[in-house]
Amino acid sequence: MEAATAPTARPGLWDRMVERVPPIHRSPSRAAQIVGMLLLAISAIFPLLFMLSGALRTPADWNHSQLGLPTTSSLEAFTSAWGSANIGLYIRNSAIVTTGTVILSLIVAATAGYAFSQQDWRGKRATYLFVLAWLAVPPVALMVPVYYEMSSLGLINTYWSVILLYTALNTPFNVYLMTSYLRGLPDELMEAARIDGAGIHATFVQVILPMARPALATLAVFNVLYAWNEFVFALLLLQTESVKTATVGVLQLQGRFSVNYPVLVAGLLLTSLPVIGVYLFFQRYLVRAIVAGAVK
Amino acid sequence: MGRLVLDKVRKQYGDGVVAVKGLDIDVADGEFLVLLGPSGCGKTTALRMVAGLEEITDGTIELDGRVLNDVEPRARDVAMVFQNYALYPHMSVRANIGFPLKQRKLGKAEREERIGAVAETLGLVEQLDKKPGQLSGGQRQRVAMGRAIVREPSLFLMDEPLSNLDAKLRVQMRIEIHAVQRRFGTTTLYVTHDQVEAMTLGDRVAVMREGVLQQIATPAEAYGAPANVFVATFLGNPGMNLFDGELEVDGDAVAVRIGEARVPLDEAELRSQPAVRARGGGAVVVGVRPECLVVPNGIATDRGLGAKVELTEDLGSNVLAYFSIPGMHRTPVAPAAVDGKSPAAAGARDAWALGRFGRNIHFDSGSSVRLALEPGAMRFFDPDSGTAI
Ligand SMILES: Nc1ncnc2c1ncn2[C@@H]1O[C@H](COP(=O)(O)OP(=O)(O)OP(=O)(O)O)[C@@H](O)[C@H]1O
Ligand SMILES: [Mg+2]
Repeated sequence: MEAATAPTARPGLWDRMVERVPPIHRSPSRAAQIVGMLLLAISAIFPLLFMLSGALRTPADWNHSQLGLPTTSSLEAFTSAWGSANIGLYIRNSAIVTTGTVILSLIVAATAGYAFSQQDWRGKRATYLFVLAWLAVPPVALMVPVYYEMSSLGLINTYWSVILLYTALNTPFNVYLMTSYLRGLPDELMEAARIDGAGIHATFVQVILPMARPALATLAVFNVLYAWNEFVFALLLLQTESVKTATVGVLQLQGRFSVNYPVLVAGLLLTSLPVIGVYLFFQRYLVRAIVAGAVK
Repeated sequence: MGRLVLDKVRKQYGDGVVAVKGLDIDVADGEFLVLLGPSGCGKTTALRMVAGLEEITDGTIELDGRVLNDVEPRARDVAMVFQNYALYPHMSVRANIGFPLKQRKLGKAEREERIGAVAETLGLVEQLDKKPGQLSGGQRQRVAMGRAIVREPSLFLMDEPLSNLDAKLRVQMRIEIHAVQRRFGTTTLYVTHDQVEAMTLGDRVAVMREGVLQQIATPAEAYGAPANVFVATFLGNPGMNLFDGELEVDGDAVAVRIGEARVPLDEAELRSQPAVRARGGGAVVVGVRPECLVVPNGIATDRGLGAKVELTEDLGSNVLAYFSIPGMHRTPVAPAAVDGKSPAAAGARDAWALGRFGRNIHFDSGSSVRLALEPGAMRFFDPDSGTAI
């Protein structure tokens, strides 16, 4: 607390945090807010630390206590997780499914957003409302029809089943976000393009897409997180070993009668690393998008 | 080439607002026509219909004899400069200027050549690789101009292109726009509500009010011989004084009674508005520009008014003086025409006459003076319709 009023020679974390706050907000209530956010941050990072410390335990230690500092520095749990289940394969499958989902989702969102925000056509409003209405449908309610449909299309146990499904499930939100973002762009830009000779296609590629980059990046992150972490439909639609995604596949580590928890959490940790990386890399886009949405 | 003809053009928006009501304008090839009018009078709407950004409800728009009504904006051969420039933020200046050429699938070499030439003309050579965000307001304005010029269109459309600039830059860019237009000789339709821009840039000005064309004339004509009381008060800062008058025709002699004064019409006034004599008498509205009220300096004149100094405002370069004139009040004709520009323009019954004088004149508030009218100073309007007689 004192640091806020009496700066020390070498600014610590606290000073740097306080420095960003305009003086008028450097009040006790602001400090309370910061403490609150620190608590939130800790609660967010706790599961990760829990998994890490769990993976660095022997099964005996685990049975003794799951909390506290790691008891071993051996990476045995990781190697045995990697060895006893096809984690490499699962991660590869997840990467394929995620990449496919994201690419398809972005294409759908960008084109639909363009049509909804910039073009005039009959039935636009009704169509838009129809798309948005799907936001209210809980995906779980679709399990049976989806399974039925996918089997009749012969897509069970193919990447396409989940790629198409994930894209479809996220399309209402993706389209909504994209449309709102594109609506916020100044009309004059599109009008200038029209007058200067750009057709619908050229305007989309040369003007809309580059300007939509922040929204596209945000959607990419949301959809990566979703596709990577999705469990229920992956379990339902991807049953053969060769196409299983990480979230489903890692359950192999859970034996039928006994569970080696350190190995299981090691597997969980391994399969979440890629997505944590993606999150860290793109988080500035997430923050920017959320803030932009808040200010508008 | 670029002769633009608007024939009875009307625009009704979806919500029922009629923004443009039967606009007839004929812009000659190479002409610089300024559309002038107060906010909301339909200038932008008219311009956007020419550009093809807004559907034409009724009437036709022709460019070089080709009816544009159903032609796509990009096929109209017009270029537009937007008020906020509408530069593509993600593209360099080079790409912005080259954008229309790229759409026309011109080869890279030719594109570069034309971009270079335009950049040279507009002094943008140093800026070619910057993004719009890194430019000053004036430079952005130039880029927007460049993007229009590079196409060598038949018609330039500009919607208040200078209104986002500060006063000093506005003067400079005004001169540049003028020079560029003269140099390329491209027909230009230029929208503004700034009358200085209108007076200085336009070969002709078209004054609009509530979607209706009031007058289309050279700036000097519109200023000197306004078609109605609206144009009279809208042009000029401050606008024309409007007095209630009573016409007295006695054989050859025509005079007008303004308050207690009786002012004979001079040769010029009788010649420029012959219909005044033909009226034979009755009520009229007399318009006098503030700078046409002068202090006679002892020279006897029969064209004068007694006046009492109410208030003076020293503008530095000149002095505005507000006078009350015994027995006279401002005409209540078309009060909406008077945009509340000065205390005297409020349409109040005991309104004042306004004069503009050189800076070396000094008036004592409350003192009585005698003001003379310059030759040809008076314009006459019908008190009912407000139109020039
Ligand atoms: N898209 C629209 N839908 C409905 N009404 C509109 C639309 N655009 C303009 N209007 C109305 O049409 C009238 C003329 O508007 P316009 O923008 O042409 O005026 P303007 O002369 O350009 O004014 P300003 O000097 O403020 O730019 C106004 O009453 C305005 O409210
Ligand atoms: Mg306008």
